[in-house]
Amino acid sequence: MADGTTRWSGMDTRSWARLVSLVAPGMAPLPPRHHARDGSLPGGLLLVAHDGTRVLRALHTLRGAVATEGPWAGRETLAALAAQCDTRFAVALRRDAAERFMERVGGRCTTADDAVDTTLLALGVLRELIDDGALDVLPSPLRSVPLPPVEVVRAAWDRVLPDGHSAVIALFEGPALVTGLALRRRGGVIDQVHGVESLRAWSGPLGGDFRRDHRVIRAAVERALGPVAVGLFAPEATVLDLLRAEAPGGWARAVAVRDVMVEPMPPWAAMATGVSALRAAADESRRWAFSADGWLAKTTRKVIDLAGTVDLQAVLGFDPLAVLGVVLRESRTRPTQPDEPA
Amino acid sequence: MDAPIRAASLRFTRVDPSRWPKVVRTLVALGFNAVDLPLVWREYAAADGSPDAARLAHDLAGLLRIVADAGARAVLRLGPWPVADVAGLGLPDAVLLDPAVRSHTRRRNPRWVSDHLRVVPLPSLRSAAYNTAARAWITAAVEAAAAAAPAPGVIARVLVGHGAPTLLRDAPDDLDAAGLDPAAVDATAAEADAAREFLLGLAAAARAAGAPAGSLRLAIQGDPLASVAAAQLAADEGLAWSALPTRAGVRAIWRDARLATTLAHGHHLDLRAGHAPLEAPSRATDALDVARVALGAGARDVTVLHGCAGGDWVGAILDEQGEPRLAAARWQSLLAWADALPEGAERSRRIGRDPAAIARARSATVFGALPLAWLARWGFSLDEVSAEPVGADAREQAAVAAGEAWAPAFTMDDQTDPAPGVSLDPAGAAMVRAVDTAGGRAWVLANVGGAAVAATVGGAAHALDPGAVLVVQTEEQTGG
Repeated sequence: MADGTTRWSGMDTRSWARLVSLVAPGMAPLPPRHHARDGSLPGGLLLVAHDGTRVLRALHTLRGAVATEGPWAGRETLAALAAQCDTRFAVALRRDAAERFMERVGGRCTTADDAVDTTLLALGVLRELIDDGALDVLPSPLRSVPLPPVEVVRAAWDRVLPDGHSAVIALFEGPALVTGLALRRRGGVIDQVHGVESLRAWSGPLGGDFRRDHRVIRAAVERALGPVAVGLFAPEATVLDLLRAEAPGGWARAVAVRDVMVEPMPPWAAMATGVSALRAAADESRRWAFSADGWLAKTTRKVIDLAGTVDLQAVLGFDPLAVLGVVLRESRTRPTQPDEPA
Repeated sequence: MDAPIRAASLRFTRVDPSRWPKVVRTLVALGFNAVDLPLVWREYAAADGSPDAARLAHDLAGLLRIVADAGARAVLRLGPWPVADVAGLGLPDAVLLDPAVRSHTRRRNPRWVSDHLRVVPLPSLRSAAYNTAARAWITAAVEAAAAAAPAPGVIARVLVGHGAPTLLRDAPDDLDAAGLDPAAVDATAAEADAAREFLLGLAAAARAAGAPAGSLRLAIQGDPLASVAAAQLAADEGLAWSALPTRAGVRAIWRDARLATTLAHGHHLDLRAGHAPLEAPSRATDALDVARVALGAGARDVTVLHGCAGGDWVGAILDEQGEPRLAAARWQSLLAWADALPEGAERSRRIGRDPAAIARARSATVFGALPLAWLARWGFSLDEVSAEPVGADAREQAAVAAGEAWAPAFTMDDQTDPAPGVSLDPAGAAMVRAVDTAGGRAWVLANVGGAAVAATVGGAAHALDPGAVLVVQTEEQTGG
């Protein structure tokens, strides 16, 4: 993962905000006047302080103080206050929660910890606080998602982006490359992260059709950063819809009909999108037309073999795309980003 | 009155030195009259952590010459933790990892702060080792700059102190217990004492090393209106702090910047063009809105972080080759607008708070050790998170009662102005300041709400769009 030695380059605010708000629409930037606390806008974050029996204060990022006292009855109170503020995202902190968090993190961190260690440690402490009743969060993916051990995350990370390789995302709006990211892993850490300005500079003029332009961009990234392990090229709106889609198989269909280009497609990405099974099934069904060898058994065996080595869901214990989808479906729609200078 | 300082920062160690002259000339052409130069201790440290005086002298001589040749002045930002976009808090590893430097929680665990996706130990402002090392750094940097300055007056400002907003401390219950008996001390008082003594020590080192008279500003972390140390230091020193981010909203940004007009010993406000990569995203237009509100509220001396970052920053005004991004033209227009803002005696409500009242409010925060600096960045004031809000400012009331200050005809809290000249729609959310200029009185109004506000100024009707700042010059001197 990234650390203090990572070099970030070629990023303008417009394209970066678009990329971040794809997966975190609540982070989409809004003008200062939007935060006028006039109480008319949905969304925002509710922050509730309590002492275990009484609400001490409830603050909403768009409405200010919405409650200064009242009984505290746990998550039901938090849910009621959130509904009152027309928001789905709320955090309740017992008065000692922050100090407990700092004490526990303080006692367990070391200067040798890297980003993976630190992130998992912090998430682990947050889960302990939830279990203790010192912290409540709505919605609560931490409750349902298992926290994998550090070694498992490292192994998964090694499969997602092997050392010495790069990854690229390039998203389009019409013919224009509007946001994207290219990064390289070297020496175990992400040593370079580049934004859309770098992608444009490396690629030169593009044709305007992502189904063809992806080859140009991939070649440019390989020249600049080294071999590409995985690349995602698609219209921004398509990715936005797929991330929020509830029905399974959306990614597989989009890749199959080339609404989304994943090139190259490593085995883990094929499994994550469900494309490998689709392709395997298609291949085997052609063979089955010429021989009655039982394609179902062969395909099933192939998928199971593949899953044993590259299925991130099996490795991590949860499906990252599914978890992201749950959170995104709870989020407000990403606000439209008016045209503005980068 | 000195000319206002409109600086843009140049993270020069990330930019090829051959581009420095072009970058400085471009920033000056955009309307900036000063260049802010963050000096990062970590980048000028020998293996033992001591400052590399030879490199400092070399780089500063070149930079200050370039700045002077462009007709600009320099703002030196010395830290020791000068800006957010530095690794290891900007400190040499020999200092950062020294056990004698670390701060501790009440249970003697190390206190950590985020350093990109890792954490690093937070230095204790009470640590003698840290204070000694930090003062040595400030001394070396100021001596090098003073010797390198090509002409008097080139160095306009020297900022000392931790300038980066910190998000994992600065809360009264999260006591830095290094060298203290946590059970025997008042956390708020101990924190304020440590911050004040640390900053005064750095200021003394800078003055002794030759910092130009009147140039020093002490950097306050977090909301200065919620800082006991800031309220105490403001009596004798100029202060520097960061404007609140977009999501704090117009009201909080205006309130924060209004403090600048009432500090007797000067101020320096940091604005943003872009953000560090791991911070919440912000758009160029929103950053410009924040700057417009802050300048309209009366901030005179500002730095825009970053004018040219050379990487590791999203959305600096100039890109990594020193070429203007598209938003640069809007910054140019904003600076031209700021130059036309009225100059004169501030006649509006004073902003200032009694340190004892702040201390009481901080001790009664309902969120415990959740950092006030983090809450402020969401627009939550100390009054909103405390069971004992500061409320009306005691010093202001005393000054009014003694006839020393103009009656607070304008408030920051949506009330109609009872003085002749301005009337605001009571239902609207607007703020106003008045400036006595050489030619009369000028009014600056900001709309902090989400709907248009009706205002009558000198008999003429005006409509303020949401978030807009309106300046109205009147011929007649009123009030006072």
